[in-house]
Amino acid sequence: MISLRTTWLAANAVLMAVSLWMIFLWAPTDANLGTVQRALYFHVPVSIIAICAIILVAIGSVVFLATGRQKWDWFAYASAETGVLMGGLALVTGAIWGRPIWNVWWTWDAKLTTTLILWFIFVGYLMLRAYAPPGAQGARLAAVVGIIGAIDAPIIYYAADLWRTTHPQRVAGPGAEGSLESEMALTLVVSMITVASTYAYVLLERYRVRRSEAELIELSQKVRATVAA
Amino acid sequence: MNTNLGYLFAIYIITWAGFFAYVFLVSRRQRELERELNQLKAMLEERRKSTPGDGR
Repeated sequence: MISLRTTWLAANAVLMAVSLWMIFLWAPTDANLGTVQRALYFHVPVSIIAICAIILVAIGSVVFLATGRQKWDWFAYASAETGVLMGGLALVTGAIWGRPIWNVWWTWDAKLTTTLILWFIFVGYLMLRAYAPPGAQGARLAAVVGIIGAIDAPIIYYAADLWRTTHPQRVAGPGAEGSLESEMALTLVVSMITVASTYAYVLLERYRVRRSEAELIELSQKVRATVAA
Repeated sequence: MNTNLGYLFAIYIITWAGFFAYVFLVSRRQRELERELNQLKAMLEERRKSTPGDGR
């Protein structure tokens, strides 16, 4: 029998193929930006998912602090690690997009800078997890960092409204000022679903690894106790 | 316009390569953990069998 995970993985592969076809062959080329505008169909979803990742870290951290249930800490940890990946991809794809459009790889624009800060928050969270004492104390300290770090999420989202930026205005989502042609909008939606589904799969896999690691520590302690007895 | 095609491909290749590399590393780690867990479980089971009267 085919497992749910295999089905999910296959569905992701199909979604990837469909979104790539839409991005490169179906969506029209932007009249002003040209071919490179198609990068938007990837850069926007990974950036939004990176913001969602820190919100998930904060949710997991709040529930962990409130209930003390370890599975929420594992969830926050998994979300922080996948958040580093998504944040890193958002920064790299943004830099590659910026080179032909702005003629620079990087500029200290509000949106870019706040996204870089988000990436450092994820890295800081993971460093804390790596160096803090193992157990509940380290988890609680990291939870506080995760909750404070989530303050950056709305700042990134509204950065283009709060400051004068060279970054394009939002074209989708609450308070969006820009607009897209219907084919472009549909391609962006399909790409968003593809990236979100792939992200959810990766997050779940990372969560399973975290759970297995905890199980391994527990079992090792049992083995040690049995040997010592 | 076509000169930007290289940047576009770079974006897609980096993104998917990043995803797949991460999924590969996570899957490998999970397989290693499962192997270690099975070894430990087998070790515990063996000790339980060799210790008569231990009903735990």
